[in-house]
Amino acid sequence: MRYELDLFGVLVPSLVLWSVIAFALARIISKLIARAGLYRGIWHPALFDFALYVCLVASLVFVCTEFFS
Amino acid sequence: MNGLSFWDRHAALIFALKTFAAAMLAFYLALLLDMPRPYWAMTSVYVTSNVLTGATSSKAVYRILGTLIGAAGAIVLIPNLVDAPELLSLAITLWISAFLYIALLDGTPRSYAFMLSGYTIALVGLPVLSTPELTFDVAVSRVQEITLGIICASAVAMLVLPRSVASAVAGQADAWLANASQLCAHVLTGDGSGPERDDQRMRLAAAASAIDELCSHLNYDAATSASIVRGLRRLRRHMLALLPMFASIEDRMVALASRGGLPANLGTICARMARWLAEGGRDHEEADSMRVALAEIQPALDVEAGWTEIMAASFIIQLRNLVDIIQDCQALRRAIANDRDPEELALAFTLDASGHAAAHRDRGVALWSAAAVTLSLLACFAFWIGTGWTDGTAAVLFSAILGAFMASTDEPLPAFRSLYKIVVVVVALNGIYIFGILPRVTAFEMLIVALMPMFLLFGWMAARPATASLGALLANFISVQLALQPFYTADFAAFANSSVALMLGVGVTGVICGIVRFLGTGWIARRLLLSNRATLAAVAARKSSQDRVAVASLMQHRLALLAQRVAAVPADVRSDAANLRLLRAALSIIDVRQASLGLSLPARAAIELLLARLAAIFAIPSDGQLPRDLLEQLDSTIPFTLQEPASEVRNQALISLAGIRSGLFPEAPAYQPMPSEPREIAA
Repeated sequence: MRYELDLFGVLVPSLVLWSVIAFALARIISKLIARAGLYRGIWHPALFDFALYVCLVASLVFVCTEFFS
Repeated sequence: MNGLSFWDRHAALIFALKTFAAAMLAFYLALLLDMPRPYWAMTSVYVTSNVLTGATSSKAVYRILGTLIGAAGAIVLIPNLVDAPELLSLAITLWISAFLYIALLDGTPRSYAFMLSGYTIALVGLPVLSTPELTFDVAVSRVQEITLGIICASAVAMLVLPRSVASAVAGQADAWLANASQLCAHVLTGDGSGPERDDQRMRLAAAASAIDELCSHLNYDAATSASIVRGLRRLRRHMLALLPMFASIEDRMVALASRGGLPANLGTICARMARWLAEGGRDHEEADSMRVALAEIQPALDVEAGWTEIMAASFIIQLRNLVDIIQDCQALRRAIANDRDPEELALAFTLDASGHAAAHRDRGVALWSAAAVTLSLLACFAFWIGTGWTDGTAAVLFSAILGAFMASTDEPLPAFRSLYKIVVVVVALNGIYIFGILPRVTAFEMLIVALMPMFLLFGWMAARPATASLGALLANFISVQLALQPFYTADFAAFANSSVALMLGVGVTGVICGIVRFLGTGWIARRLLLSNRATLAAVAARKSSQDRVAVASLMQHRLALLAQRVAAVPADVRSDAANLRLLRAALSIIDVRQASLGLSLPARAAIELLLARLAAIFAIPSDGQLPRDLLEQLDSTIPFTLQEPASEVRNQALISLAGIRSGLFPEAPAYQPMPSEPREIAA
């Protein structure tokens, strides 16, 4: 895996890319959960969203290092 | 023309032009004086400028004070701790959070000085971490640049078409009095209850609190004479008495109507007064003849006096006070318009002339908000230390600024979402300017032309109430992010670093504040309601001062705060809060205690016993109903007072007891005299 991306001559850690992708995924998932009405059963929605996001970033990084390195 | 002059109708545009001129003047002078960061002078202009001249000057003073304190903190902390980043992070975080907590507790425009003391340490200290020996120079130049910006902003505000705070306060007070008279006319014609009137009461309280905030700038209004300031303060004090009075009048009318209807002579005078108020309350002769009529129908309270007589007597006293207050307000308004000293006026209503206004402060909420910001700062610092990213300190800086902004909102998440859009807009605009427009700019005049459209738009937005905070935020952020320098330097790495740091700092702060402060508006509203009970208990137990003005201003400030959160207030307590029941009970407690000093010992003992009981009940926080036997105790205290020889003091005590009863038990059936039992005890 490449650890840095070249963005207009600036080297950016690939973590930035994963965190942006994970953010988009987390938005989609939380929209789906909201549509299904599951947030009523969740005590602390903001904390849940944040945890979901952390899980997504972690799994993206893990999958990437496992399969594309 | 609709009554406004040309300058008033275009106030927003004039403000935008004025502020832009001041900003460019500050920037030009800073360039001329070879200051290292000229854009700080420009930013200062946008931060301090307000549509009202007095508000600009007061913010200027607070900004200089805050910058001095923060810069001093940076000089002390940075060189000493620069080799231990963990310790330095902790120290800066604690400094910022402590000042933020103080600022939240203060709650007046003065809080800006504390807030700025907090984050100036980050503004000055963090960029010089690699060269700590320069801390002093940077601190001094920041103070110089800020002072230059502030001088430009104040000078332009005062010289070019100034708008005084006093005229704004007077205008708002007029509008308030007109609305209040209208509400009172509704009350007097028997149309004073219902959710719509409750909303009206809450809006009046909120408007009064907005006037209070404006009043705190009055001392900085250079062009306003001292007698106008005194007159406005006196007017505001009279306004404090009006809202609870409307609610008492309403209660008395309902009580009298349920006991066989309003007596005919009272009914006619109510109708007269409603008409008088609807016409603006300016007719002196009518007011005098109403006073005479009220004195004629005032019933004498003898031993046999029943509930109806007591209620009617207190009703008539309230009506007389109402006439007095409305007339005083008109007199004060004329005195303010003619710049006369209010001390020379003979005011009819001077009951509360001494006494200090108080405002509601919630230590718990302030601590909670400051703690959320502390956590966000620590997270940003941890990210900086963990990644070794040099520009990570800028994220800390924006976290501190954003945290201070968000700490004063109830629900951090919605505020954060709208803020994030602003940040993205700022980054985009900044990119367009740095890479698209500024490379073609070769002279200062061209720079002015290039910046003008954007800053005029933001200044115009900042001057309009609907978009005020949005425009101010955009103008401030963009002038910081542009970071205009004497020479053009386009550097994509610097742009990317500062933009990512901005987005990261805002993001981390928003997410952490959203998670930590999950108890939102509802929690704050509940605490507001409970704190009124605590105040009542303190007054009844004589633990707080027996100052009518303090209690009235405190509880009406709470009502204003509740009005901002009206959606989170449960419907069943909304009407009680809007009618200021606890405030009226507390004022009656103060009165009855004062009056009881002139009564005989048994009556005094009974009243003290009742007050002790009230204190015990209200000291326990709960939303539940009041115990039924409290009403019985209250009813058994009234005969003790009725036994007393007729005097002014006795009537006062009696009416105050009735005030407590109707304040706390509005739904209870009328009081029934119990003639035999208390006489035995008294004998």
